[in-house]
Amino acid sequence: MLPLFMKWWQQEPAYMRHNLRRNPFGELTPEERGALAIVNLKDITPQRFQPVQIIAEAGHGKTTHLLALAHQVPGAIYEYLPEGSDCFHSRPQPDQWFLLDEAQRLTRPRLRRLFREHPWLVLGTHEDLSSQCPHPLQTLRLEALSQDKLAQIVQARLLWARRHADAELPTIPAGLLLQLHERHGANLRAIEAALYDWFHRWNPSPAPAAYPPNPHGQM
Amino acid sequence: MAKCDVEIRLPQTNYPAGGNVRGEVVIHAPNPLQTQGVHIELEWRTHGRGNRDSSAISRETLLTGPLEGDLRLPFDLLLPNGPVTYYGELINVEWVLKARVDVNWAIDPKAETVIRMTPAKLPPDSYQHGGSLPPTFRSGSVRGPGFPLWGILMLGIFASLGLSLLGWSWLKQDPFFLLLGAGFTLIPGVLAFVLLQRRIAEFRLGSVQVDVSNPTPLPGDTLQVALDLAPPKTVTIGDIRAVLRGYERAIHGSGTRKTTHTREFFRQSLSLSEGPERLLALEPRKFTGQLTLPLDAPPSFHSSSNDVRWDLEVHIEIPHWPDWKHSVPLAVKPSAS
Repeated sequence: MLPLFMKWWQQEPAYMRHNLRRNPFGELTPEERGALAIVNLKDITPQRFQPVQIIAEAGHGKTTHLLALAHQVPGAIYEYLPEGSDCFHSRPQPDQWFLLDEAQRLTRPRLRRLFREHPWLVLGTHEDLSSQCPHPLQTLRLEALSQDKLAQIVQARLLWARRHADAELPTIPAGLLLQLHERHGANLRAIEAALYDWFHRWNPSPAPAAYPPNPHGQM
Repeated sequence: MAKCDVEIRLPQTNYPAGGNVRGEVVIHAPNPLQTQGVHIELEWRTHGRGNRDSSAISRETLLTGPLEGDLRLPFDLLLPNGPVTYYGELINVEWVLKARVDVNWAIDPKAETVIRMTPAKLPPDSYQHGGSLPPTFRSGSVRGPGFPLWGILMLGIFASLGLSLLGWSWLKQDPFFLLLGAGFTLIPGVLAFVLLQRRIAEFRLGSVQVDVSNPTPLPGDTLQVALDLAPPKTVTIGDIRAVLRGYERAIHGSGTRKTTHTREFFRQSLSLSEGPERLLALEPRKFTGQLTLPLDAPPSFHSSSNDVRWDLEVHIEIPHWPDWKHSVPLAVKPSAS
């Protein structure tokens, strides 16, 4: 039994009482992000020495695409180049896909060498790198986020955070999604942050249905 | 496809810190299964705005070798004294039990269940805050961070260059050199001010002795704060203020995508002086006050990307001079009541 007086930090947020294990828009691990990504990987079909570059602004899905590939392609190596770094540390084998995020940070000679030496490449970048590539370079530009896709992403997050498979999931008002879509456009990171805050403050009535006291998460 | 079903059964979900979690792992394996063993693991983990942190605390092997049919494997795990379960806005800390059947050459069937750890009547000193908190501070003379000689030289060179460019721009009436000179002069100036603010304040105040009666308090405890000053020259000071703050700090992403979110959940401010005052040269003065931690104060928590922090910030206003500020970290322990 819980004590009668519970401090604020011991009380579960409302979303936990409404069939969610956690805030669906909280931070994911890279593996979870790759597994939950709603991306069309058919657009990314590198051939041997025909790399792909994914160009987008911050928050528009470059990393999500790369992590989705890392999740789906066995043996693929993902590496993020942090600011101030101009070389990567992974040593991919010739038959491994190499997924390099923020590739525009490589020095020009290193970038040209990467294109020359590595046969299976997918690069996330803010800049068009085609001038440095000696091979045909496919380009995928992430510019738009449709409302349908946003709804799918939201639904995937809710399913991921679901506590009991047989109980109902909460719903987000369609008007809110529309409003966020209008305000932030394709900046999914900003939309996720706004939805995190919305879920934290969400406190619907009536009181939630009683769930079993001991949630067995079976996998 | 799972070769067996795994379930964790517990009689309850709330456990006091330091208590035992007793339950059983129930396995249903319709066919014989070659396994390396059945393991149960206890860990705390965070979720929320920040990167996820976790720490495995204990692990037991309940069974080794092959298994078949319906099995009930009892376990009894000892919980440490903290960190207790915490539900905040940016950060949540929860405890989880994970059961795993280590199957040869196949995906391991798993189950997990979340439990809630509540504070217990245990010695506060044994409380574990997750990771190591910054060292607490009880009493001592506080001096602002110094600045290395090479830093002073670099700032001097930049400032001289800036002033020369400003002079050149005035001679040539060239706005480009004016902007360049202003940049070279202002940036090192602002940088020096930010880094040396407390040291600059100490030119007027001398060294400041800060005493905090209890840097590892429990909710409801009173903290006595005392400041001792003996300025080298007569100085007029404004308000002396002590601020007790509780806040969450979550780091999201890394590198250029690193964002730090903070949310303050408690703030209590206290004036230690009665308005502006003239302090005479070399005459020792003491300023005291007391602040009370709220009864519902959450305990301090620390992990690499998520913190629940408490600190006591002392602020001395010096008119027409940089203010003196110092922050004392506190390690708040939970109380069972």
